[in-house]
Amino acid sequence: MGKADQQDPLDNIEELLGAESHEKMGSLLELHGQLDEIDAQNRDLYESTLATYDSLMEAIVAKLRDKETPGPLKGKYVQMRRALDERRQAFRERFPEFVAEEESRKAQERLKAKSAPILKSLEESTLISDEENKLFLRYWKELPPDQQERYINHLKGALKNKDQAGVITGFRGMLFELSRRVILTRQQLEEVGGYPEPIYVEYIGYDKKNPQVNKPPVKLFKPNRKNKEGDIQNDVTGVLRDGKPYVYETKAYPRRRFGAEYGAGESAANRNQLLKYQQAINDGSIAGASVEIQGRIDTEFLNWAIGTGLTHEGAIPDVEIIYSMPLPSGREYRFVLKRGRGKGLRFENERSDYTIDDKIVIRGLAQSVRDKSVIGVMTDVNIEIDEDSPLVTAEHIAHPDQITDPEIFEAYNQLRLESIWERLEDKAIDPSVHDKVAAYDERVTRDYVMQMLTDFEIMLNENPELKALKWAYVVEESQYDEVVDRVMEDVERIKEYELARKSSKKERRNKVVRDIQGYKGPAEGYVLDVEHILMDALQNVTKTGEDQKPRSYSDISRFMNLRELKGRLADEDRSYLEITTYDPTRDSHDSKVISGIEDREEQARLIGEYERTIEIENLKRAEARLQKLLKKYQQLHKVGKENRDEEQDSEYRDLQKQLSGYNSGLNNRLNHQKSRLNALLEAKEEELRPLQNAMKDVRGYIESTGIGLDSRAAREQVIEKLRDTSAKYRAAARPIKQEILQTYREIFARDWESFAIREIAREEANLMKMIYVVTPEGEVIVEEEGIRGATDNSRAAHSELAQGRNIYAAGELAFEKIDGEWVLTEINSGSGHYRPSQDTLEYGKAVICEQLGVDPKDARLNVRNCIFRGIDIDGLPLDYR
Amino acid sequence: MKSDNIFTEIDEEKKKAEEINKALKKEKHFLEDIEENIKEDADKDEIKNIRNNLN
Repeated sequence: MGKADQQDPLDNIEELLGAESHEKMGSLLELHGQLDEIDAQNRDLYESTLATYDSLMEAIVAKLRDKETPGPLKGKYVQMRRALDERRQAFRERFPEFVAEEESRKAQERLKAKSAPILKSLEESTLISDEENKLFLRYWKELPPDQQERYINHLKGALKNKDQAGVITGFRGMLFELSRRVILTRQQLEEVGGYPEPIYVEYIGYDKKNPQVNKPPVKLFKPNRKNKEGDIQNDVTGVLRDGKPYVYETKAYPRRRFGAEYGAGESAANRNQLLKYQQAINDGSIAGASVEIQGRIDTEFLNWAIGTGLTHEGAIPDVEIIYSMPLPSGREYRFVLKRGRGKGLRFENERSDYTIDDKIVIRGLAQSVRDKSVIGVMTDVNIEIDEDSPLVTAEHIAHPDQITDPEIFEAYNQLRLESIWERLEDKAIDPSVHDKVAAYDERVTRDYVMQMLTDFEIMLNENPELKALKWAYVVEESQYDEVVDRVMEDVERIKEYELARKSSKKERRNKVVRDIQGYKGPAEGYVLDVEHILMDALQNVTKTGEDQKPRSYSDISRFMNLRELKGRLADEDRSYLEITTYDPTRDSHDSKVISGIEDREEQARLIGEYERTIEIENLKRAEARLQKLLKKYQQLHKVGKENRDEEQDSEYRDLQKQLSGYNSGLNNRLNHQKSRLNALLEAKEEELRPLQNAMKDVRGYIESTGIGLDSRAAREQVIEKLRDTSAKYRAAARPIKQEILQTYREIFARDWESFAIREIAREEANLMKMIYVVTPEGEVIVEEEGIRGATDNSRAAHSELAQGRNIYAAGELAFEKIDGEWVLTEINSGSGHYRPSQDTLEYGKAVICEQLGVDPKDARLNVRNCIFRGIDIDGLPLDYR
Repeated sequence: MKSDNIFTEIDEEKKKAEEINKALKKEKHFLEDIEENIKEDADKDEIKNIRNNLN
């Protein structure tokens, strides 16, 4: 508070406005004083009048109960009570300003009464520490009354949880949510106000009972208008952008993985919430949405959200995901894990509070973002059993969601966080020691590799969840020698090459060339660390199946270089169209792929044909359904109203409802359309008949036409005519069939969705995706990666392209066919094996463009620094050093 | 000019508040009279009278 605030506001008004103002201001203040006084008096009067009403009512009730009150008088009192009640009502309506005050006071009293026992049981809870209790109270007291009530309800629910660890996680989740609100208010980077109207959304999501989350969603969710709060509810309410609500949701997942399935449709529910936000953004009813996550995240969910390939933007392109990393001091570091397309939530890390330990972890985090290992920190469960925490067993680490004992949960949680901090600290201390040991590093011996393999397999055995994901890395102890042999062979070959290269004249020249082309990374290039050589060797040993390609650094002739690709590109065609349909009667997805057809007319014909088969199937289904309903209806009708039992009667009424559209006019339309179709079919028969006869009697046909054809030519001519005639009628029948379909849609209304096949997605592309490495010689080695289908397991790894040697750039390339030409549209640095830094991108671009003969300034070319396919590292505001 | 407007506004607000004050006082007195009557065991006619006044 400044000194000026404590002064009399009149003190310097003369300076500001002149002497006259001083006087006016004085009388103004006096008037204000008087007004306040009357207002206060009025409020008292209002309250005491209401109190008088109450006491009057009590007096009347007493009179009515009084045995001595004469009967006739009682009648009068009853009337009087009614009249008083009405007058009281009118009185309150006359002074609405006092009513609002009265109600808010009453609400506060109610809230106080309601919250007191709940806050008391929080205080008494042995599961929640005093510190956390105090923190909750501090946050809670700052909330507006309606929010206070909401959190009291939450708290009540959390404390009631029979799962004791659940009490802790529920409470902390709430604390996380509350702290977001407090930080948001404190930082004042966002406008916070009230939401104008409840928002309703119609969206397509996943069925919780049958969450097929690896397919496009099909279940239509109608707006729930009964819910007064609207369909969009979020934890940290009130953020506004240009007058529109901005959704801010929080997720604390210490035991379960956010987005994973635990048997109750969680994977669907988590996705649906975000799909709903995406739809609301599409509708323009909200300005944007951010979800802030703390704890564990499911890898498949991240793939779904972020997108896994160049053509997949992910399912929620406009929704932002923020991650909050707890730090050793109990503070946190927040960063954007997935950007939305619009502006994300504005926040700052409040860095002044960080301890030295915190800063080390943050440094490691920055490093792991740079080398792209950060996603693993959040999704993997690389927790090792700790002898200091005997409570936590391998079983707990494998299934933390099943921990209910609060003590074990706390120990597990601590272990989980410490393992994350340890990994990040290692990164901060020496990024190269932790994960990059080159083949030519003197530490790499047979024993070293054996130890590494043993540790890794033990870790997998301790983490069954991870083991299932990494099946291709699991070997028996009896295979260890074979794996290590293979690693050592590779190590020796790489070592021989790299050591020879280092001292060669050719390399000195290559270095100059790289320099000229803008290379800024380490002189030796980016090393393939031994851990990855081991992983590749494991995949060499385990991938023995027929469709599986074992990893190998030899046989480089499998791959192409960029110059070869350039020569072949023009003839390549990757046109791809996929129509996905959904059949509700079987609850199954089906997709039709029309690929390799660049001819638009031919493509359109094939699409039309596919659409026609669906239309015909739906027509059949609709017709069968209608007949079934009509038959049942008539049966029940015949039974007669008197004879129908309760069940039959309800079925009858149900049928009546279902057939109401049909019975009120649509039947006439349908019959009319059907007769038009029949007329057409009859005409077709008429026209086909002579041709069919001609097929039976070719000689007669030749004679009747008199054109002197031989019988083979005549037959061909007839077949041609038959085909043309059929096609002509098929084309003429289609619009009528579509009209009939439309009528059926109207007849069945919402029921239509329950039996008709429908298109749910259509994807079109003409795209080639390659992985590439730039070798020390400046050669660009590429291999195409299938964009669709299960090709991921069979495509080569960057290390195979480079034969395990060092590289100077690596990542992915995308070519798109634009106006008949293959155009290079993306170069990125996405390589999990080499994790090249963004410093390699300029160089990679220069080399690639030069070898392809492409203008590096072409606006269609995007250069992206990739962390997890589709995510920009640049998007992570890890500016702290 | 501007300050004059503020004066008029406050003045009007004050007048309004005073009117409310009067109305509230009237209502209160009215109720207190009834209360008095009930306490003093008013007879049937008087109660009828009160009821009529109430409406």
